[in-house]
Amino acid sequence: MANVRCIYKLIRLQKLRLPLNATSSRLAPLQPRPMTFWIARSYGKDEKAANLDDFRAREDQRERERDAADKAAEKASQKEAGGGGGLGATGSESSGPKDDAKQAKVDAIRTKILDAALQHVPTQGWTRQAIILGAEESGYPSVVHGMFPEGGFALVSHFNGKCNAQLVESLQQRTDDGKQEVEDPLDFLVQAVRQRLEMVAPYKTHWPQAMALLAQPQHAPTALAQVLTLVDDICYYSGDRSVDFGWYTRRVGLATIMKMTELYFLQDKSPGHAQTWEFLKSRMDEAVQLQMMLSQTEGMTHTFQRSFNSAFITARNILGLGYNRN
Amino acid sequence: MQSTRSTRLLSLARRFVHIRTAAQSARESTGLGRDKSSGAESTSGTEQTTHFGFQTVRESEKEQKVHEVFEQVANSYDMMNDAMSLGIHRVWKDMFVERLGPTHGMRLLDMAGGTGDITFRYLRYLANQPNPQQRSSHVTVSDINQHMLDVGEERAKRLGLTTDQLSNCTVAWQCADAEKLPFQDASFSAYTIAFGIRNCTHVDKVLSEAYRVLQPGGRFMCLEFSHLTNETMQWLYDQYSFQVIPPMGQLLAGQWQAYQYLVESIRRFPKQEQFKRMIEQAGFDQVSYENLTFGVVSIHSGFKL
Repeated sequence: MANVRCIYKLIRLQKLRLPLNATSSRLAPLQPRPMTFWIARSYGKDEKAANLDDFRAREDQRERERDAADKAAEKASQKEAGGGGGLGATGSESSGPKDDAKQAKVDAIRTKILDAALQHVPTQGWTRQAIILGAEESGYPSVVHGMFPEGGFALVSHFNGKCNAQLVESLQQRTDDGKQEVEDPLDFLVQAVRQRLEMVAPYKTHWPQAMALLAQPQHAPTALAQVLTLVDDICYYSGDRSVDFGWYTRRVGLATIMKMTELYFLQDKSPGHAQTWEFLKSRMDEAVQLQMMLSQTEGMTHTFQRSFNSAFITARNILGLGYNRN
Repeated sequence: MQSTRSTRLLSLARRFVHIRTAAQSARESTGLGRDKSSGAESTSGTEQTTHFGFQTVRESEKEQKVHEVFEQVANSYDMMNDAMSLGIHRVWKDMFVERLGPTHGMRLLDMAGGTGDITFRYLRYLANQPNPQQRSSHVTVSDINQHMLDVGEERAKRLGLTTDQLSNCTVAWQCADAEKLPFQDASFSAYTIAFGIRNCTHVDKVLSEAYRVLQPGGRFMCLEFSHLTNETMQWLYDQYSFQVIPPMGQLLAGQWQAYQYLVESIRRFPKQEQFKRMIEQAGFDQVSYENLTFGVVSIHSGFKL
């Protein structure tokens, strides 16, 4: 009898030690439940609200309360400090649209200066000196380079943002704002990457400097955000509406291919960069083959997908995106 | 045994110092305090009062009192700066000029420049930059106290940083009140004020004058003692300020009250966020601040766009 009790205890202990969604347990296997079930269990007191929509509604409500509390606290602190500085209560309320107008004016000036600075990049590189020359061309004294404390990186991220916006506009036109069906998604991806890289071609001599600036850790959040939004846009307009782990794998895969092609592009001396486009095509084909192989070995795919997923979630947490509804 | 003897010696020393400073302040108060007390009786709303350290004085008096403070400390100003901040003030000023990023062709107004610390760093920074287009730059050092400017001019001569000794840079020394600058509109491209703005009676007037003399695109930068972000560190800093600095001032420069005023005026200056709002109210855009040494000093920056 005692032996049987020991065995039962061992079985219970083993169940606890195993990961929750292990499928290879030889003892009574645990049913694999979806992630949402565990989340709802930890939050909800009533077992009825165990589905995703209620969970989302509850989180939305909580976030709205938190935003309201933050705003109230900010107003309180502003009032107590503003009272000393001469700002009345009316000042803090009407400052919303006025602040936006001021911010828009400042942004317009920043864009103007950086656009003018881009013309000096071939001679000066992605440096503060280029920004100074651009500022002087736009009619501002050279001291406004202080508006860009990151120096050369401000110029690089502005250029990247401009090219990304241009690419997205072109993709929108091609697919009628994502509504038109894309016949060959793979070819579409290749064309999009090629178009994006060709925008870099005029600045090719100094592009290694730009890549070095992008790789610096203090600029990682901005650089990462730009790459991920670009890749997301390209995949979306190529027709990707998946809601499984394939969403992550496709984007991370495309970002990797883009980076590899960019590096190859830097040392390509063929006419019209023909070799770079061949390189791109062969990488895409390899990626497709890899995916086919993975889908044929279902069990292993889970592990790969999870490692992609964890890398993506880590990147997202670095950017502090979290669960942001705005 | 040892400890009680040393504490008794310490308290004796403190009492001795207090007596000396009481005598000094008695001398001072006979000159001014009587005016202040009579003024307090008859003020009753006829004139605005402001803070002078932890005292309350009439606005017309504050300028005079600040002038006296700096008359007394001018000769030992630099030495006392080194002693009080353990030399860190040099790093602060270096970082300040680094943030400004001087370029050739810049016209700088160094307000409350006094003994010229910021100016000399500005000139040295420019000397280290290549000047392919041979542009000429300019800096005007300005202070309300002529004595401080005289000390600055002496130092400039010694360091070889006067107009005659520099190529493609001119230096001017001008005595002026920050609230009423004698310069034309839009005549400078950068305005700096380091450790001076808390001594001004009307900070908003100083800010609007700064806005006036800056050209469009010009930059306003202010280096000033500010409030620490951490409560415990603020307490430690308070202990250091009130227990160490005035006695040090007495021992090294023979000035207790001046340094008492210094540490009190730091406490009275608005906090970083509030000062940022004041700068925005004066019309500057993209106003930001950066804390150095956990908030002991703070660099505020704004642009006239």
